[in-house]
Amino acid sequence: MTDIVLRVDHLNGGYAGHTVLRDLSFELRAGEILALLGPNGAGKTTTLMTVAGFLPAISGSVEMLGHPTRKNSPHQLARLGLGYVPDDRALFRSLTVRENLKVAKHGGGTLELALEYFPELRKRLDITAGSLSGGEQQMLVIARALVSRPKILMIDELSMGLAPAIVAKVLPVLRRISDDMKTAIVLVEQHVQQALTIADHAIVLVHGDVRVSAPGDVLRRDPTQLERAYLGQSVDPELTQHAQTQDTQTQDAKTQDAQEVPA
Amino acid sequence: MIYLSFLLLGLGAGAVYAALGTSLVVVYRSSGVINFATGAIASYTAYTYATLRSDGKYFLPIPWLPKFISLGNPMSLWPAMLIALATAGLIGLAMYWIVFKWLINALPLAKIVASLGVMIVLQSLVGLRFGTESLPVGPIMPAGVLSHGDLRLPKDRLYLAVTVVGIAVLLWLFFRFTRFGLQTRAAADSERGAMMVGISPHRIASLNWTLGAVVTGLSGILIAPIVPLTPGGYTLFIVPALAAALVGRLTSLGPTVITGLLIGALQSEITKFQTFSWFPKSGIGDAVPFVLIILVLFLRGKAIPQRGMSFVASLPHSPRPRAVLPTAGVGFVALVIASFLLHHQYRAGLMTSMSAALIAMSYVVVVGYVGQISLAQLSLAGASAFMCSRFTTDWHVPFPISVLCSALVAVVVGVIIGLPALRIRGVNLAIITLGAGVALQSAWFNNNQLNGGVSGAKVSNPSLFGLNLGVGSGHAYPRVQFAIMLAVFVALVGMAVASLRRSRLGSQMLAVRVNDRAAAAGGINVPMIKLTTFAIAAFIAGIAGSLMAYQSGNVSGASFDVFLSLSLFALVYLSGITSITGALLAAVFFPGGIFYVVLSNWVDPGGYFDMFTGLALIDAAIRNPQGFAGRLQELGRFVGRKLDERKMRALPPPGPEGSGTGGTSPGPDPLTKEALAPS
Repeated sequence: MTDIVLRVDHLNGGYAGHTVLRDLSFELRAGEILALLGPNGAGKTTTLMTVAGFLPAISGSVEMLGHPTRKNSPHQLARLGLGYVPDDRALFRSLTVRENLKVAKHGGGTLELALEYFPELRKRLDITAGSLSGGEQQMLVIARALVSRPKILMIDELSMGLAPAIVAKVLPVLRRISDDMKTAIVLVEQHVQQALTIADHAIVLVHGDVRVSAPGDVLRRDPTQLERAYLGQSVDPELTQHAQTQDTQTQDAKTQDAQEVPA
Repeated sequence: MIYLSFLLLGLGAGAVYAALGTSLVVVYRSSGVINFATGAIASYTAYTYATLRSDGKYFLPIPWLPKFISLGNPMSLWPAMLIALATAGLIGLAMYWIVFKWLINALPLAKIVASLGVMIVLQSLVGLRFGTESLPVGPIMPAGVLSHGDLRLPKDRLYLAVTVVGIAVLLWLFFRFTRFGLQTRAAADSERGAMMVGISPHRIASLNWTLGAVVTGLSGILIAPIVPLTPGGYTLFIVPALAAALVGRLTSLGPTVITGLLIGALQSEITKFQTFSWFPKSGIGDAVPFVLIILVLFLRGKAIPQRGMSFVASLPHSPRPRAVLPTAGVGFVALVIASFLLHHQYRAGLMTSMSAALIAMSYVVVVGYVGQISLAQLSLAGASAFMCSRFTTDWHVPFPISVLCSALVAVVVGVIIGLPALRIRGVNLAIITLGAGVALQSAWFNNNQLNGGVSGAKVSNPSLFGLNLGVGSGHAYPRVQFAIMLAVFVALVGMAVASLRRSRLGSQMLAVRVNDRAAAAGGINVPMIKLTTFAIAAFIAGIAGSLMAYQSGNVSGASFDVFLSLSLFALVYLSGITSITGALLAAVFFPGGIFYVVLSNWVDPGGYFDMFTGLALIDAAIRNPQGFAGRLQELGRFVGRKLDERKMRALPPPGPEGSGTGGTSPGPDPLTKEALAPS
């Protein structure tokens, strides 16, 4: 498994000169699911917006399918094979479901492909996206991102405003997509435990810093470590190892904090 | 039957409104810009076509190059039209790539200002090349009259209307059934969403801008044989076109086209009514679009759907003025000294700038503090100026009561114009107030029954306690006493506007500016605040208007022209519409103001002043879409941050325990740490 589709290297991101995200590095392989976790204001959405080209990176680099993306605008990245589902959905509300899917089709994609994963939408093809229910809208945005067979799919706050039952239904679909199409998925999620059921790897961001970076099943087995990370307490050094190795250049006080042995 | 004939006669003008409205919709959907330059593009294209047809010369827009290049003999219809339309398309494309591409995420206001800049540039280019004379254009559509009984309809009008409706239908089919049309509709819904699925916003905008400009240009060419072609003559078509587009909510072509045709028909019908003795002789026709938009928007109460922008910017911070009295004192003394030091035209320039400063401050109140885009402040000043003439000459009201009375009349008009603001926000309101300005201009300022007719609207000399405050005439003009009086008003109004910002009412105004629903939820009487604002702003504009009347001695509608009003608005916006500093800065650069006088003595700008104003507006809108004062604030914050950082560096390095408290280091919050420490 050396087919790295997304490489984020010492990325700093933020708004109008204010750094929100510090020194994030990770690699994502085809067919892998990465859960990006953390409390509100941790920098998760900033990460996705920066990777998708909607925010210029302050420093560091992003490499997508071997191309450095610094100079690319969002639509070029989309054409390169990036699907992005933002937290506000950004649907074409006055267009019908069919048109929403059709307009997103480029390259060799088909509507069938997307509808296969979300058969619920099949009955709704000719009504406008604005009149769908919240759950259906969320499915439509993911379906819209799938039509063009993205190599990488980034989903921000999948569960926002959705009934838990729907979330429980959509998450396994993501796993299937990733397995079938070898799509790499970055999942930003508030429902940590649910996200970890499908994630291969998880990164916990707190205040813009990587606090935990560990395989999904490890965190699933030991949820207390996650709680500690969320609360800003020190965590098992094992789990920060990945974060540390990326952090060789900076020796901030906060990394020292993270390594501190529990009192 | 004769009434019906008049209605049908209006189809010609109506078709042009419909076409321009269509173009407005096409451009707005693709890039969120309300293109005020649409009428100017029609005019420019029509001139290009006309010179190709009459002399075979192609009109070059760039100053200092030859005015025309000859392409041989007078051209026949089709090649001339093709070249003219290609020119129109290029203008549209250039407008996007040179100007609006940079403003994708800017405030809607910044886009309006930039499009006003383009309008001024195009209009002045045509003016520079062709002077004021009108250019005759031969018929394009078949001549002749269709008649049925008493009903008579010139064929050219009918064909024009059919052509425009046909174009609209074609466009509709294009947007409905092509992939590009689908992409355009998607981008209009959500620009971010469109980018996420790989649609290039620039590609969408480029083609739509080109398309819009070509439709505009075509309507300009087709109307040229019917409505005499004069520079600037077609620019005002933008108002009825905006009305039509607004009824179509700037998104649907059908209602836009129908409304455009309807406005033309109604205006034509009104010319019939003008033959009755009881009916006002002029101006009512121009009020039609205004009344129509008010009716439709007010009854429907729905705003234009906010186009799905990537990011929504907001008006810059409105700084809280400090040391109001000392600042006003120093400013007043400076103005008085300047009044004594400057002579002749320089002093007159200073006076014009001082009056403009007052109007600019009224913009600060209504737009800067409360965020209600009113484009009618100069028109309100005009209302006050004409009233001032009445008060002083017909009713012999002495100064300064005359100023007060005229300003109160402006308040009444201002509150009426402000009424739609209770239900309508943002850009819609801007269009309504612009319509109101046009209606005032043609129904009052340019109406011979009301504006004093041939003898003009004279204003008597102001004097107070036997002291002559008049501006003087002949060699005495401009007297320093008048300048000092203006300085008094500027200082007083400046103090009032600054205190307003510091008052409770001012805080409530800012709350309404941020979000009127949230303000209402916080217990603020939003309608009351809005109307109060319009009243205060109209009062200030009214004072300015009557002072301008005293300065000129004879009020003329030209001083309160809608386009001057738009330029002033654009100037104030870019100087910084949220602060008094911005208002003063705008006043300096107002046409006829102190900067203009200095510049025209230094290098003769001749007819180029307007063009440079337009170019400067465009440039400033691109570089500082938040206005110049906003940029200054940003700079202030930047310097503040740097100073903080320096201070932080000067402090001893914090220990690992103290890292959470200072600077930007976001270590664990010590409080949480303490509270959650395992016991």
